[in-house]
Amino acid sequence: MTENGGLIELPAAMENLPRFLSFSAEAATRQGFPPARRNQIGLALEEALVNIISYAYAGDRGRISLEARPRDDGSLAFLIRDRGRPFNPLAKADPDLDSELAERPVGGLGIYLIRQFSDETDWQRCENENRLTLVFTKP
Amino acid sequence: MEIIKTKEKDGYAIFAVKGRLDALTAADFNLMVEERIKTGLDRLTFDLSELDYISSAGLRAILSTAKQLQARGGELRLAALQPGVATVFKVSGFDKIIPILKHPEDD
Repeated sequence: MTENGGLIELPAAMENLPRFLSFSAEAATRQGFPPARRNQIGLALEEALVNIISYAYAGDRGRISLEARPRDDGSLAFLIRDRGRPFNPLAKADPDLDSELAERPVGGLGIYLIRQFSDETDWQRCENENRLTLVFTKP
Repeated sequence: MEIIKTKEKDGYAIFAVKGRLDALTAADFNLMVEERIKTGLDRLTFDLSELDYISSAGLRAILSTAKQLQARGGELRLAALQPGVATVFKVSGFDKIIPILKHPEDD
């Protein structure tokens, strides 16, 4: 692990979302990301974490680990791991962005926003874990 | 997150929505909006000049408000979006289905 990295592991509960997000905001600040990009990183991570908190453990209390991995090229990778049911968020189809207000489904945007604001994404299921990697580059 | 009624203009009630509209605050936001629109208000403008952050949970809340008002023959308009919030709206295609004003008192 490089010196700007780190890892936080907490129960998968909405009340822990602020702690995960301050951890990622600090990592992004140390890696020199400007405020606007830090907000987008926070947004992508919020969407990924809320998905896990809401669906991964089906009511049971599991944990989520979030690891920051700064890269030498100035980018920043986050590895999010949970031991919930296998779920690849990246396989979800894009939402319909063209329908009129009355027909527009309420929801389905979270994963789309992860893809829009990350520069690189990867998901793997190994050792009973979902491992989602999101990489962010500077503007 | 807070919602404050600022004024009415041309039949639209203007509410300032401040802070963060995210997975932690969207439920409160929905309750506060319900409370205000059950009195019969159906044309609203949300002044978002002090909304610092929105995520998909916030977008869902905004969309659901817009749909409710439209179903009653009313309308939701948004105004004065900060650049980061404006980007999220644009990426989500919401700028095409919800009127967005530069200033809350614009027509």
